[in-house]
Amino acid sequence: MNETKRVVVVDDASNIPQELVEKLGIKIIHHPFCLDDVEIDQSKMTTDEFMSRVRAGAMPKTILINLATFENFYRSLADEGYTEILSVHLPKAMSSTIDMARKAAENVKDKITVRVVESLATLSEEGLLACAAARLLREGMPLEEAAQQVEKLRNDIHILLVVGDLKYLAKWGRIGKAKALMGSMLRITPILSYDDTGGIIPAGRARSDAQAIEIISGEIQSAQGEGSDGTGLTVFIVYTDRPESATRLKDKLTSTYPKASVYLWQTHPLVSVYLAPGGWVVGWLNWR
Amino acid sequence: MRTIDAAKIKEIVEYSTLYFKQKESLVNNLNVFPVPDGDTGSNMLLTMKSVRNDLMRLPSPPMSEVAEVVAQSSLMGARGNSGVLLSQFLSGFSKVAGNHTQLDSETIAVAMQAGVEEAYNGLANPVEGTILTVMKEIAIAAKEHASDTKELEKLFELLLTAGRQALDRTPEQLPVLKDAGVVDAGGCGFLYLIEAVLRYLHGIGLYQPSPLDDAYGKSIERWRSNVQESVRFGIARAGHAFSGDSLKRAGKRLFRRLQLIETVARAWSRKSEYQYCLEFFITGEKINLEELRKAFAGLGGSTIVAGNPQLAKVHIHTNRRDEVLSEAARWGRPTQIKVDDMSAMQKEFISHAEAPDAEASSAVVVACTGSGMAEIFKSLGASSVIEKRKTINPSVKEFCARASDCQAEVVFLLPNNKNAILAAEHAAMAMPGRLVVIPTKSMVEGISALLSYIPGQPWMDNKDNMLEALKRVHTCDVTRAARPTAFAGHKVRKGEVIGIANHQIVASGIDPNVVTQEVLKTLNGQASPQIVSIYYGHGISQEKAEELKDVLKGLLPQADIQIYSGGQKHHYYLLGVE
Repeated sequence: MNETKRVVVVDDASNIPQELVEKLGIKIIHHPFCLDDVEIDQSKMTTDEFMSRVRAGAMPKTILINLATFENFYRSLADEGYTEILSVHLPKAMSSTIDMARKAAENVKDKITVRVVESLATLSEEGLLACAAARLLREGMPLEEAAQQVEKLRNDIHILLVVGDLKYLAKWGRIGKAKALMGSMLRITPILSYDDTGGIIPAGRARSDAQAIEIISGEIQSAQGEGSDGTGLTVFIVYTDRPESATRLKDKLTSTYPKASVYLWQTHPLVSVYLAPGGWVVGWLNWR
Repeated sequence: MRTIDAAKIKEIVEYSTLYFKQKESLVNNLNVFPVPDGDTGSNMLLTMKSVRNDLMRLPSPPMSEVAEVVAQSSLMGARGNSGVLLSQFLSGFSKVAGNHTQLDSETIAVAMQAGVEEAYNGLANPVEGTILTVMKEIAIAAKEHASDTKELEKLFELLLTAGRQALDRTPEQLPVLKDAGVVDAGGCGFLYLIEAVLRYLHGIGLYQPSPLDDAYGKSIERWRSNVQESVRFGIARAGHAFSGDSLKRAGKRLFRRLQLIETVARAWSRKSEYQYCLEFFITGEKINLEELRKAFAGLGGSTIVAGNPQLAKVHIHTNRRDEVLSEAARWGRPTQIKVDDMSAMQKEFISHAEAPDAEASSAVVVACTGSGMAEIFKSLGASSVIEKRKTINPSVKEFCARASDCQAEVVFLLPNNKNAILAAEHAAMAMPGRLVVIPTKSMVEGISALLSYIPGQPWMDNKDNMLEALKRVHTCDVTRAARPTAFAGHKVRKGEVIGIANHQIVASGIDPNVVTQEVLKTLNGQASPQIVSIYYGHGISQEKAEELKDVLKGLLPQADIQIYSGGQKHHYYLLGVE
């Protein structure tokens, strides 16, 4: 048992495309959630089914992953032969998940080494970080070094959220400074981002989906600089229930940046809770 | 008369203001463009009014003080382009006049030259065929004749002739005037002011007719229809009444309105500090100093009352300058009144401050008309909305007062009317390092700019984004022609519905919905619109707007058509096409 075997754990708020989960061998720990106070088994409900229930008025609510679940999850990985875990989770500003992870890590330390990394934001940021962590571990980087490297990468990730309806964020008290975009008498699509502490901030207002695509691709272009072919660029695009705009952005990005890895997929119910029907998220990171 | 002293200047200002009041409508009616925002006369009158009111408070000031008050009051009361240009002229004129105790023809010529220079300097791109040209030609004539025309009556007759020639040439210089068949309104207003000086010098009564009225007022018929229109709009317009009594009544109504505007503007002034430092003496017989102290206690701060029952000295910091002075008059005869504008001193101090840093907080002040529009602007995050009843013409003072109330280091001003941009820019000059003007020419542009404003982002980014947003939106409006005009060979009768795209008339007709469709067809050739935002106002019901939306869906199937109640006066529809 002297051989070191490392793995990345992330909660399902991270929103990683299934093909990458499989390719990079990432382990996902699930948040339980309720619809109208009835706990839902995620494996038995599709996002479309979930969204149609939300549209019909059902109120979704996430439930904290408890200590026992975390401990069991870490222990089961130890049983599979893993010796070190890099566990990436939601920022403390948004959830107590990270506290549970840290406590569980402490409790299982005699069985397995767990290094917890706090992402600065949820959704694609957490997912991009977890993928980065998995790549670094695969390259053979020692656990602590990889964790520190991932923590540095947090500043290079950009996230933009196109929210279908701000009232869902407001309902969970996560609206923060984006509140300024609420109550518009004009029909607008709010575009949001995160500040350095994981707080949600306004990033733009679009009058139409086409304008939202323009704004987002403009942001990516200004971050990439002139003449980039997308080398080293990874883009995550996730949507709740309407793929049209997200698909148009993907097409646009793949033609502008032929060398970029652009992933598009439908998010799972948990993430949809915040984005509201019609919402989508874009996250990107350049490795160069 | 060969010279004018300070007391005569005061009388001339008083006479000119009262005289101009009668010409306000006529000048308004000479609107360059057939959109009923004809407010040139009103704006110039408000500017004069501001000067007159402030001068009247000073019993017998020396020329230097008169000059200072004229320069300052005209600027602070200036509204609209013509008002601001007039104030610039008066400011330049006063700088020269203030160095003399008497003005003779040669000093007047030099002062006029300085006035013209200041007016031209105030503009990045001066346009000939406007008030500027009339000012310039009059100043050139003054220079030419001053040395051999010592009699001021004679000099002003020559100036009036030169001014008329310049004004009559304006349609040749500005094609838009020629198309509309009018001379420039601001130029005409300035000519009336020159005429007012001449009439004063000749001792002609205020209400004696002027030969200019026939020349520029066109016909009594238009005056009559304008009176009817005014009644319909419920607007008290002075100047075109047919008897002395009704003129006085109209004048009084207008005066009350002006007083109201001033009161409101003053109320907007700084809350946390006093604007004025007043010092004066009260001469009386049995002044009770203790009672006097109490009388002033509620009117301001830092109040000092000293002296004796025959002569009291009062020092007070206040925002209620007029009330303090009328209170003073109740106790005796106020003399040696000294008024310092402390906010002006403060502004001077601020002007030496450095530009705000990148992290400075920001807010937006918007000018608009229509309650629906005001609500829309508020919902988009404007900190302060200056809602005008009729046309968007806030004064420099209003912009400054609203900006002062904002709890932010940088305040963006969205004037939302091409005629309000200059006033906003002057406000920015009055509060350097604090105000940034986004030159929105219409409310539709204002909405587009405000949508790009993201609270909490660095102000420089917001500035760039807002300026960029102006390029993305085409503005169209559907309104009523205020006067007969023509476009592309079509004649348009007064009262007909006209459609304007990017500030040019492109369609006319009877039904606003049909005209709107025509306007959009002309735009459709340029680009295929994605979003058409329609703000309905004057005389349009929601049903009528919905009908238009349905028709447009067929006309522009790819576009997202959105309708909102704007509640604006004068415009049936305002459209933003993106």
